Amino acid sequence: MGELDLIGGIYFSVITIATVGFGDIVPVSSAARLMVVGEVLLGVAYAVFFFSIIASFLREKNV
Amino acid sequence: MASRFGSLQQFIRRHRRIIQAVFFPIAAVSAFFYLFVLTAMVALDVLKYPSWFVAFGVFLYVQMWMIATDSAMDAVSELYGIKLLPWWRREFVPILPKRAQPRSRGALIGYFFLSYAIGIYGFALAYVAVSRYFIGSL
Repeated sequence: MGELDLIGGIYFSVITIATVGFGDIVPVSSAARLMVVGEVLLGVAYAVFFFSIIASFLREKNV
Repeated sequence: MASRFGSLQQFIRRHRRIIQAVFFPIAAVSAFFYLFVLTAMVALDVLKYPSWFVAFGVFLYVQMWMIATDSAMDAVSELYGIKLLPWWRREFVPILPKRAQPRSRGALIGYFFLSYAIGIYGFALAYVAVSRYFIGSL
């Protein structure tokens, strides 16, 4: 892939955090792979947190 | 040490309006520039910076992550009703002015999305920097 520009970096970051993984940009080195692992885990944590916010909204409405 | 901070707090209290009108906007704009633009310039390797400048960029980058963590912890503590503070807030609470906690659900979602956006941007900068400083990483 070579050098990423800022838009490319944001694109790859969004695709990774959303756990989509198109595969057009692939981490090759260990450092890049570790970053991807960290971002995927963070993305899952954010998703869980987001759904818990929605759940708390719904719970409050029902009560 | 404590008296020095006490006099600083007195000064801030006395000149609060001037600080709010003049200092905060300037500080906000320059903080935005330093944290989000300058770090991007270092990551993109726009100019040939000396190594100390790259170190400064990394230092700012860490601060960006501190904001992301801070916002996420604010939202989490509001949602679950627990007192959750990152270590830098615990350490510097006597010095820093008391920060307003998010009260409404809208503020909670705002803190969440702020943290999420900074997280995405932070990782994007990391990928850009890795691809440029370590050729063939991506």
